[in-house]
Amino acid sequence: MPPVLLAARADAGHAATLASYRDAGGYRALDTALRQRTPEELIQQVKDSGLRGRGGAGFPSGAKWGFMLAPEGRDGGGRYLVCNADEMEPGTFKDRVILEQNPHVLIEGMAIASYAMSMTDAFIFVRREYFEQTRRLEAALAEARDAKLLGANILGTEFSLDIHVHRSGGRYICGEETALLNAFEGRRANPRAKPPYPAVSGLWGRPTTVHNVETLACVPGVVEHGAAWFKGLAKNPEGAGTKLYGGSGAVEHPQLIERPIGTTLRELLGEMGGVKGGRKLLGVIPGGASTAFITPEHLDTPMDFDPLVKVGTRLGTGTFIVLSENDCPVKATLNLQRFFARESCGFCTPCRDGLPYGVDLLARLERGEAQREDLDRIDHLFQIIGPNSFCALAAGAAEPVKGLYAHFRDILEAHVTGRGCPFGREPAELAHA
Amino acid sequence: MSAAATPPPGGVPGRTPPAPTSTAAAPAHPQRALWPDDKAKKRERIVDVLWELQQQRGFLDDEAIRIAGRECDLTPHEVDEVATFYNLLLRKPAGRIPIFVCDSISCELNGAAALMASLARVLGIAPGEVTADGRFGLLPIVCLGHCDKAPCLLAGERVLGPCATDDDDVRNLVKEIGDAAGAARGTR
Ligand SMILES: Cc1cc2nc3c(=O)[nH]c(=O)nc-3n(C[C@H](O)[C@H](O)[C@H](O)COP(=O)(O)O)c2cc1C
Ligand code: SF4
Ligand code: FES
Repeated sequence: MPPVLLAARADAGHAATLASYRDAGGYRALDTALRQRTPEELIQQVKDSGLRGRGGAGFPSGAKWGFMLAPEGRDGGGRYLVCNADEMEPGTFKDRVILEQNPHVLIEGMAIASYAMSMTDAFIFVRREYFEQTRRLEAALAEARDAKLLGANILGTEFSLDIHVHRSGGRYICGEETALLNAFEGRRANPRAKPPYPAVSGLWGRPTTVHNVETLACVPGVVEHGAAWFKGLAKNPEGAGTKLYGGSGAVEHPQLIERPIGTTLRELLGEMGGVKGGRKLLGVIPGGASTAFITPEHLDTPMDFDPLVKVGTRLGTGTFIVLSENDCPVKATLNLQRFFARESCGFCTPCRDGLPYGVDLLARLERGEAQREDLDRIDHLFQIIGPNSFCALAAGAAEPVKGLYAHFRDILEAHVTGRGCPFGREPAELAHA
Repeated sequence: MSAAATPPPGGVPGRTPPAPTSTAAAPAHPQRALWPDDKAKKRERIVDVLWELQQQRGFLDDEAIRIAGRECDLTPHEVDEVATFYNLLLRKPAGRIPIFVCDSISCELNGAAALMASLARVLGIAPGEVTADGRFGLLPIVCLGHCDKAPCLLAGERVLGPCATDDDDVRNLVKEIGDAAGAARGTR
């Protein structure tokens, strides 16, 4: 398979330059879009391509673009495209690699998307921890401006656009699109109530579309080679495009690879050298911290949105975390819950108070202080936190617990009957938080 | 992968290009300033302004909050709502070189606890403390987006990993972090 998102490979130590991106066919799609297509045609093409959001929820991108066709908000004021490069979900490191290796594919995708949705301005919201990646992105933006691929009258057409980078201060909730908008505006980053959705009232109250880095990076390929081509990239009939798959945790060679969407976990893990140290596989969190565990019986499930839903989990970000036979899934879930509890924005009580209670119960289970009733208590707690919370952070936190109960009942029971973690005593852990 | 995956040479065949797009569909904004007004533009910069103040002062004391407020046209209260929200903004001293150790899942599975413990021994401080000379601070942080480099840490503007976790390796790592920070500041 020819790589699509990472086509213009970077040399070690720096990103693909504008010249090497162009050598790989870069910016031809922008030229085609601006000179030969209407916005409506482009939106139809993205709909036909089957592209779904790569930020975690898998929302159809063409439908999202279609919301921007509404006549409201076409009054000469701002209309904004915001690229979400917050990427703070544990286990997720895919957008980083696009910024590191091929920032021009993002810039081109943003320019096309902005034209298709009649945006006036575009922004990239990036976590500050990505210092080197942001330097490379800014360098690529400067190259694009010099080459008239950004700025006034792009490529000599009527279309004008600039892209501005906003650097955040590091907080997971800022990846939630409405919290992101508050953060962007310089406010405390609590999420906003929906509706109104960002397409109606987003950044500074104006029509806004928020997209993940990888989603936008898919756009040039769709426009250059067509919707059918993009669909044909997938390995499974219901899929579309390629996917950046990352493997980390108990993986022999942790890394990010671009493969046809729908590639199975067995193939992906095999390419990464298998489970660390040749150990047996216990379970996998398929797409970042807010997806439910799957087990070796699911190794041949296509890593795509619908097939993973059928086995009780989600594709999420497509960057999977591997547990070996030596890794306790209760301890792993405790780690994830510590993350969610720390990163809760504190705005609503079920999440702010419920998640730390969940951490406490899981920690007791690990230490061997839990009673049998606590198993039900944990299960119940995580079933009620999600639906009673204000945003999707808490519902996401419940996912790995759901997987824990679906697949590792025996290990949960063993924590009660054996008075603590059966996975061998860890060296005394530092209590930090 | 089927042959359909290969792009046809010369793009998609059989397409008649429509006339160049109308200006009505995509109004030009050659003079747009990106921000709706000056007040919004100033406020958008608050995290950058706080970050710069933190680089100069080591952490965000109350005076830094007032300065940032004047620069971004915000009340100290509005500034503090932001300053207290972010993992990288520090309202307390954390050393001239804070070392942020990732303790999220992929790093934990690859020895983050051992890395933190070794750093604590080598620096002679517990997480959350600062060395007696005020040079290093040690703090946990959530996933740094470098899970392929687990276990990793953030020091200055670099994410370092995968880090070896023996005390000897960690001693060398701390020296390297200190030297790099010294070089970056043009001091020492
Ligand atoms: C707590 C939370 C954190 C999120 N973090 C991110 C993130 O870091 N990056 C991202 O693209 N989407 C993130 N999302 C999803 C966004 O809200 C939004 O759905 C996404 O950016 C839309 O882009 P897409 O349509 O291209 O997938 C997060 C959602 C939640 C609830
Ligand atoms: S669910 Fe959690 S993160 Fe979301 S608004 Fe409530 S407290 Fe904040
Ligand atoms: S878990 Fe440590 S960098 Fe992602």
